[in-house]
This record gives sequence, C-alpha cells and structure tokens, in this order.
Amino acid sequence: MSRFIWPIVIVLSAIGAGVVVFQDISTPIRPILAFWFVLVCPGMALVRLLGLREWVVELMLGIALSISLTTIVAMVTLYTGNWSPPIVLGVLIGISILGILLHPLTTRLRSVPEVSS
Amino acid sequence: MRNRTLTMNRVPSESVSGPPLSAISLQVLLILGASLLWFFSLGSVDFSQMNDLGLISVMPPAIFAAIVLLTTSFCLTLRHADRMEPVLILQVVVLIIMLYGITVFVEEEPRFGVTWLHAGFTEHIMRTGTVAPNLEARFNWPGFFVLNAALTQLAGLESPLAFASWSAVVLNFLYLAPLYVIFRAVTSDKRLIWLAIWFFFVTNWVGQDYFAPQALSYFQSLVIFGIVLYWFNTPYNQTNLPSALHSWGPTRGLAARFQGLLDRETVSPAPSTPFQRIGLVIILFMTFAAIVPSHQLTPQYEIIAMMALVVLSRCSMRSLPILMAGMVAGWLSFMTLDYLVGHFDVVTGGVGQVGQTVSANVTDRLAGSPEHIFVIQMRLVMTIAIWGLAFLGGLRRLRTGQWDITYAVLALVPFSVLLLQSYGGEAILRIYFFALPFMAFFAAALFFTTPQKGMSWRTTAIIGVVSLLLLTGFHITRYGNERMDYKTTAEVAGAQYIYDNGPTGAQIVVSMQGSAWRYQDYEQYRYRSVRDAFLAGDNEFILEMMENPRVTESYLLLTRSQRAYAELFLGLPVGTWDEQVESLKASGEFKTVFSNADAEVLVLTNPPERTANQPDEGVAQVPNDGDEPTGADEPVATEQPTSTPTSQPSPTATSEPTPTATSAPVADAEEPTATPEPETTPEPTAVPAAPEPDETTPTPTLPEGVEIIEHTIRPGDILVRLAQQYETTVVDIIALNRGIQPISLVVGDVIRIPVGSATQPEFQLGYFTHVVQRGEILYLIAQRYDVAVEDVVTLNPNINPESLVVGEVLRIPGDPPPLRR
Repeated sequence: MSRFIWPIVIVLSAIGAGVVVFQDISTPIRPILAFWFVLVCPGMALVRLLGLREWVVELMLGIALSISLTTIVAMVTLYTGNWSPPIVLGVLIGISILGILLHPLTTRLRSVPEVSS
Repeated sequence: MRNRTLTMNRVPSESVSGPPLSAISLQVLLILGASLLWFFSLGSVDFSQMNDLGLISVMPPAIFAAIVLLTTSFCLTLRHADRMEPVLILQVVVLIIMLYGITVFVEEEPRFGVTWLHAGFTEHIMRTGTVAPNLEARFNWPGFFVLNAALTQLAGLESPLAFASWSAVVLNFLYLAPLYVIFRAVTSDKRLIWLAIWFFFVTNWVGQDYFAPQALSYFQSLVIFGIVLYWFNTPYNQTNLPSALHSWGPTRGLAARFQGLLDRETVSPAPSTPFQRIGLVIILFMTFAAIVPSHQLTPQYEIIAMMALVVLSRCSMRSLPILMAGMVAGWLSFMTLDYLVGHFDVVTGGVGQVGQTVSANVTDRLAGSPEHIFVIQMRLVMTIAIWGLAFLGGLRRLRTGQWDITYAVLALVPFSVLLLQSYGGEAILRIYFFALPFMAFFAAALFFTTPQKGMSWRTTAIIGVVSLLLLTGFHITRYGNERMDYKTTAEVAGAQYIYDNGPTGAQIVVSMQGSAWRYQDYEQYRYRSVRDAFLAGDNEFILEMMENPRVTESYLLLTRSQRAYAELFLGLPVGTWDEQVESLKASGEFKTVFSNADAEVLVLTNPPERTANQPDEGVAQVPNDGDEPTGADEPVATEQPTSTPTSQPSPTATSEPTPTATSAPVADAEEPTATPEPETTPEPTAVPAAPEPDETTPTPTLPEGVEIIEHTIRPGDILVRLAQQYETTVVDIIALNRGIQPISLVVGDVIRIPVGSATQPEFQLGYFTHVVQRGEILYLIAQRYDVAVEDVVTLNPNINPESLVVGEVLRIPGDPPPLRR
C-alpha cells in the first residue's frame, strides 16, 4: 500500500493545483496547494524512480529537484519571451505524471544492491 | 571501516522495544511546555523599548525559560538518540521555529530593507515578464527572482512579501535534511549527528537565510554536498592521487606519503546501482544548473570545494568541477557579458587583496553606537567559539584515529573566498556560513569520539551549558541590528504613499538606507540617497538633488529605519537625525505631504519646472547602490552602507544614467523650457573620475590656494568629515581618486585630497566622465558634448571607438557641468 501513497498524493496535488490555477480560483488553500505541488511533487515523482528507499534522502532530493525544475522551466519561458506561470505549472504537471508512469518500468533498474552490515 | 546502509533508520536489534513510553511522554511534555511558554511570551515583546542591542533587549525572561526547557529536553533525549529520533526531529523543528520564527510572530512586516528590494525585482518580473540586466546587476542572475515570481503568481498572491517573512523558517527546515545526510555520510552515531545539527542551528547567526538568492542557493549547495559525500566519496583505501604527482620527481615521495595519510580516512560511499548513480548525477547537475543563474558566489565556492575534493581524491566524480566550471562559464559568457565587461575591475579587483578584504569585513565594521560595537564583538566571539570548538573536536577525532580529511577540507575551503573578493564586506560572513555545517560537525565531535550509545551525565550537563551559551550569543548576534532591520506598517505606508501618488519617472530620495522601499514598479522610479550630505547638514545639496529637473517629481522619504541606521551604524547621537529633519523643514523649501509616527514624505515647496520625459524602458535609472558590484544581498551587511550619495555632485550631474543617445536631445529640442541648464547637454556622469597616473590624463588645473595632499584612511573616516576637515568637497575627493568606494573606505588606503578646493569654485579637472549607455556610439556622444571625436579618443586610449561597451566610463574633455559644486 505504501508504494501507492506518493503516486496518489502527487496526482491529487497536480489535479488540485491545476484546478485552482487554470480556473484562477481564489481560495485560501491556493497558496498551500501551489507551493506544495511546485516545490515537492515533480521532484518526488522523479526521485522515486531511483528507489533510494530512505525518506530523508528522497525528501531532500525531491525538493531540490522540484526547485531546480521550476527555476529552469520558468527561466526558459522568461528568456523565450513567453513568461507564463500557468505554462510552467503545466510542464511541471506533465513531468510529474511522466514520473509516475515510468515508475513501473524502472523496477528492475533500481533493485537495491546487497546491503552491507 | 565504517559501514553504511541505505536503511539508515533501521533500529538496532537490541532496541526493538524502543524507549519506555514514559520517557517519550516526558520529552513530548517538555517540548509542548517550552512551545506554549515561548508562544505566549511573545505578546510581551515591546519594540518601543528596544535599544541598540537589538531584539534581546526586549525579550521577556519567559522566552529564555522556554529555550532552557527545550535545551534540557534535547540534552536528555540525546542520551538515547539512537532510539528517539522522532523526538529529536520534533525538538529541532521547535528550535527552528523559536530561533528563526520569532520575528514572524512579533514583527509587522518582513524584516531587512533588502528583502523589500528583492520583492521589487520579483514584482518586476511578475509584471513585465522580463528581466532588466541594464537596470540592476542582480538581474544578470535572476533565477531566484524568476522562481519566486512564478510561485507568487501560481499561488494567486500579489507580492512575494506575502510569504517573505517566513523565508528563514522555511529555509532552515529545508537545510535539515541535507545536513542529516551530510553528517550521516561520515558517522552512524546518532548522538553526533543530532548534536551537529543542533549546533548548526544555534550558531547560524549570520542571517543569510532571508528572502534572498544566497539562502536558497545554500540549500541547493548542501544537497550537492550531500550527494557527493553520501554516494560519491572515494571508497576506503582507494585513494588515487593524480598520476603526475607520483611521477614528478620532487613530489614523488611526498605523494606516496600523502596518499597513505589520505587512506586513513575510512568513509565509504553508500551502495548504489549504476541506474541510481546516473539518476543522482542528473539531480546533482540539475541542482547546480539552478544555482548558476541565481547567485554569483555559491557556484564559485562549489567549484573550488569540488576541485579540492577531486585533487585530494576524496570524490570519485573526477570531472565534476570541470563540468561545473563549464556551466558557470557558459552562463557568464552568454548571459552576463554586458555586465562583466562594464564591471570587470569590480569583479576582479579583489583578487589577491586578502588584507583589504579582511579589513572591509572586520575592522571597517567596528563602528557605530557602543551597544552596536558590543554586538559586533559578540559576533567575533561567537565565530571564534564555534571555530575553536571545531578545532578541538577535530583534534579529538584525530587522536582517536578518525581522519575526517574530507570534512576538514570542506571546513577550510570557504576561506579561499578571501582570495577572490571582499564581496561587499560580506566575505567573512559567507565563509562562516559555508563552513558552518562542517564546523558544527567537528564541534559536536568534541563530545563524542567513539560510536557508542548513551552518554554520561557530565557530558549531558556540559552540552547543555555550551548550548545555552551559544543560544544566548545567537540572540545577540543574529538580532543585534533589529532596531534597524525590523519594519513597521507605518513606515511602509510612507513608501506606499509615494507609489500611490508619485508619477512615473519620479525620484525617491532617502536620508540613508535601511527603509522598506523599491518593492514596487522598480523600473519606473529613480532612487537616490543623500546620506553624507544629510549627515553633514548640507541642505543645499539635498535641495539640489530634489530639484533635479529631469524627473517628474521628487519625494524625500524619511523613516524610522533611517534614523535607526544613523544611530546604530554611524553612531549619530540620539536626536541628531530628527534635528536635521527639522532643519530641512525649517528651511521653508520643503513641505510635508505624508506623515505618521514612523514615516514622513517631503516634497519641494516650490518645485522647478520639470523637463523629464517618461523613463526609457531598459535604461538603467538606479545608481550603483554599493552592493551592485558584488550582487551582495546583505542583511547583516546592512551595516555596510549601500548607497553612494556622495558620488552625485549635483542633481543633474549624477550617475543617474543618461537617456539614450537619441532620445534626450530630440525631446529637449521639442520641448524648450525655462530650465537654466543647457538642455541639449545630457547629464555627464556622477563624478569626474580621478586622474590615473598615466601620461594621457590631464593634470587638474589647480588654482591658487588648492593643494593636493595624501591622507591615510583611519577607522571611522567618512568622506563628508574629511571634506569638512580639509575644506574640500566630497565630489572633489572622489574626482581625484579613481576607483574609490565612497561609502566603504578601506582603512590604510591612501587617498589624495584637494585641500581648500571648496573655496575655489573654479577648480577644474579638465575633463569629466560619461558612462556609455546601451545604443550609444562615440560620434553621438562627442556631438552631444560638442567635442571632437579625436579628442575623446586621445583622452581614452584604451577604448575601441568602433564598439563602445555598455557601462564603459569615457573621459570627456572640457569643463565639468556648471552645477558641479
């Protein structure tokens, strides 16, 4: 069951963030949803592909990767003259979904090496 | 050899049952009690009673009691660290909120004037969808601002100021995970790991965790270290120094011995599959790719650190520093070239100037009110304390055979920043900040040398006492400038009045820095500081500045923070700032258009007829405010003046960028006015640059009675006082000393002073200067000033007449502008 928690959280977060942003809904939870999704979910979706198992490590890498992805995508839109935060969000949602879809395909690649004691 | 597994939270078999429930309950109760006590004590903080010791002077004793309670709880839990990690996490979370969140709860607005400036950059991106590198140097590294612009808009907020107050809390939370990974990479001793984390947070006083690029880059930098140290450390006993060292005669024997030394380090990388390693490398480079366009200094530091690890064979990714350097070079070459060419001397000027850098970072800061000087001394004590503990801890580890070479290198590498530049007087702060994780580790190691469980009551008590001493120091050092750093809603209202009522192209003048301003419509206003003139009581200068005909309106913004700055950092006697304000108002030249308890806005009683055009988009209008060259984003560096008021000899003859070559004359021709200044003469730059000792530089024509002497800068010297002392003007001093930093004089530097020039209105240097703006060509510049192109070329032998560089300073032959004092 635990292996489904993050995919479910990411998908629900993507839906929530997408709805409030694309529908431009003003609600007190919009900042929370937006910050949570943008700063955690895309990176977590990709980091989980590595099967690192440790939640501290996954959280660290997931947040760092999310921040990097958002910065890079946002800068691309800015420097190409197409500044648009909703487009940034759209790309991040796409990356998140892609990460979740790829997860079953990488099972063999991320098999944990023998644990030394 | 110490082994590590990927299941670092695995509970040892002998402790499967875990600690007794009563022990956990006791700790949770202590934490809860401390939290409640702390929270309900916040209501007693009275900012009106704050003195120059900062926040600690108004903190009620109950807050300290709460901190003592939490520290006690932590020390007790540390005795069972391997079994009570969730409680330790909770304690550190509460500690972060107590230490870094206190201002969120007791202050009305985001602290630090520079936070508001960064909000202004972000708002600019949100509103225009562009950056303006010619307007502000930090737009050459806009990653942080772009990220926050996107976040703010996605969150449906109007400004990043809505969440900027929480930056320190959130960022310190972020630091927690990479710190854990970094410490976990070198030890499995949970006591050592958590004490190192605790020490990190109780000694992180430098305040580089506010709404700024450095703060986020630091997190990303820690993540990179985490990845390298945890997965890409050189396996035990596999040190492989560069073959050249082994084969070259003079180093052959040395290399062999050194390799033996390096092999004593027993850390090994965590096991991972090739797929995982590829993924980790990609994440590492993605993270670095986000730092490169966000911050100047952090990538340089990362490269140096990685290079040191690779050279010492402490990192198995040997090409890492080269690839990192390539990324930085790529960004600098393609995205910041204009800035670098125009400011090359600024960027590279500090290389090798260790003495000056130390001076700019330490001795120059020892100024201000007596309480403020005490705060600065405490910062030195705090720095020495943690470094001293680290040194002793490192020695103790060494004595027990634990050669933590990697961590020692990373603790020392930040000192290389001293070789590069003073970073606006902040280099030592950055060194402290970058070295802190590793210093904290060694400081904690003083108490735990062998990986065993439990600890004696004596050790527990010592850790408690040391922690409380550091925590006391933390509150003095981190919040010692709070009297100026905190912002009130009332003083923000002053700036907001101007933004609500000031027309586009208006000028906002402040008596000195420190205010919450520049946070809105950044490119539509011109910002000036008249600090030195204000301090000297030179109302005439301020009046001239306000009368600048090339702006649509002038506002003089006076705030509580400015008064605090003058008293705190400049040591101005209490009441003097207010007297000067009253003197301005008594002159009859100013009238008050906005006023409340913390802010006042003045305008001219009889404003001149303005000839200003709407500002040209993309034309820089903000003068070098002192921190531009280095991109320094200073909270503690608010000690370091950031404006250059003295570089503006007159309202029109200022460093304020000229309109583009074509626009100004056309506009002037179309709209003749009664303005006395020749309208076809665009503004020369701020200051006639000082003559360099080369043959092409004309010698100033010295009238009788003016003598040039040399003066060695002493602590406390500022240009205004020197000008008064030698009967000269600030402008004339600057004119004679090319490259001088008017607001950051370096103790020991020798400057030239034209004694008596203040009484000689005809004192002439024979040329003045012009800063090349985007779109300008030499022919038009010469035509504008009515001089021959050849004469300009003769006076500027190093320029390429066919291709001027934006930001380049040209000497223009002839008289300085008539308004020059």
